[in-house]
Amino acid sequence: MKTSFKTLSVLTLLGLITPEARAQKFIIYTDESVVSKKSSEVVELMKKTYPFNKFNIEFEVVRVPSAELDCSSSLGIDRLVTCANSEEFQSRAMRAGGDQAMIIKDMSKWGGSAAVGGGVPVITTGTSARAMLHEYMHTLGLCDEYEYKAGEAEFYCSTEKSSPNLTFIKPKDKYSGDADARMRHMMQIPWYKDILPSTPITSGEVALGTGMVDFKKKAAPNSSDIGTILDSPAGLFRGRVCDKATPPIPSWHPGSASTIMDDVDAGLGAPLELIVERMLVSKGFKKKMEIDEPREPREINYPGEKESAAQVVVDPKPAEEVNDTGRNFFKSFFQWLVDLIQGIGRAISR
Amino acid sequence: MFKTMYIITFLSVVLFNSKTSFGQGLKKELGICGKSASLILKLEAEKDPVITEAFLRDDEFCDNGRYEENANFILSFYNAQDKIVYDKHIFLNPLTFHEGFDPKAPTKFKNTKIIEGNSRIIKIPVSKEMGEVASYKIQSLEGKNKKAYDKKKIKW
Repeated sequence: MKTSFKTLSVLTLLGLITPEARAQKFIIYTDESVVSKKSSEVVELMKKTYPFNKFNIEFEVVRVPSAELDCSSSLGIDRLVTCANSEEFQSRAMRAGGDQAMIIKDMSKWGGSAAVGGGVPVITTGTSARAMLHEYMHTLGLCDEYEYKAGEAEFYCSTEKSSPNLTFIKPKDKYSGDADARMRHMMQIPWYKDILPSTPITSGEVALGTGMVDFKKKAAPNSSDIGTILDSPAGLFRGRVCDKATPPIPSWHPGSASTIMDDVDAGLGAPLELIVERMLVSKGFKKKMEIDEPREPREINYPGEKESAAQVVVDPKPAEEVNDTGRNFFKSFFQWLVDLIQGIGRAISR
Repeated sequence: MFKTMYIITFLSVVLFNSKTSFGQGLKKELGICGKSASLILKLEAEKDPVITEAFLRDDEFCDNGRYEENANFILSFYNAQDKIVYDKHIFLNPLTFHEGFDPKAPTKFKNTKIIEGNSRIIKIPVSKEMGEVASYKIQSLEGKNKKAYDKKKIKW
């Protein structure tokens, strides 16, 4: 008993240096009309999609004149849209205390076929809101899982640089078994720690790979509060992203099904959920507590002048200045406890 | 005795975490929390990574994301006395993906164009003890050389 109190005391002391975390702030700049509600769709989607729904993310929608976004087709391809002022909006978001700027361009004439995964993800109102999720995942460092055309494959696949959901491994001619393949390639697989000992990374006797990605099978979108643990676990699945490179370069992904990085209609799938959650935690995203009340996104009309104050159109739940120190303490303490237990669990499972 | 110790430490957590307690001050001294400094880190093809903008806000920021997963850069910050006061491991995707959808299958991508260069917002806490954050140095964590770039001044 004495020992457990000792342990508890030590753990509580550790809690002393646990800093308070704050919600991340995403600011969506849009020129869409009030009738069109793509920004609301994006907010709702991010709020309900696992694992983003586990974190405190505050959204602010700022309406701006079309001319300020200055979006047009670019790069010589009619159906690609870029916004000339995206850096300016990133700067505005930074000055407003935002962590991430996003742009939704009111544009349906091209069927909403444009999206940019850079520092400032851009989608058009004609695009599925899920495209924003895809683009934001690029900013986190995840790569596409669809097959690139030869021209892009030439550029992209030349680096053969692995990313959290993609690695390039040239299989050896022969492996003596799964243990041999693991020994040879474990350092090349960024998600290796997610592959259970019971999941082989070879099939048959000598071939590398748990299997092929079945691109006809889409990972189901997950809007529940728990990860899709019943989905097929992480492994080493042969992809196709660089199959049109010269010569073709074998690419590998953690999941067995098509994910949102291949088709925006698909979900993340269990392996990507784990990866994204880890990334968000490492970036300092604060996990939600059960008692956290959801806050509606703030909507702001931005009149256009650079330094003029924004006019708040809708702010249903403004932040209240109340003394809830005790509540905050218990929230952060229990959050810390939950994180600690999860951390220990993860360490044990490894 | 241990029960007493536990109660004391438990209560000290309450005191430490309360917004008006000495704990907040200590956190600032430790460099965990401070004023919120937002920066924009920019990558361009064949150019050194650079902080193009920096903006200091009075609201408090506690950095829980100092060591990002898959970080590809370390940013080190120096004060006016040239003493290193903070560092942060961050990830910035060096590529921008311009993606269009297939008109025949509107959920599938087609006509992708990938270009080098990207930028992102980074936040760091600036506590009183750090002094004025005057310059920064960037080190790449990729490649064999893990290239360190020249120290540059920050324009607030």
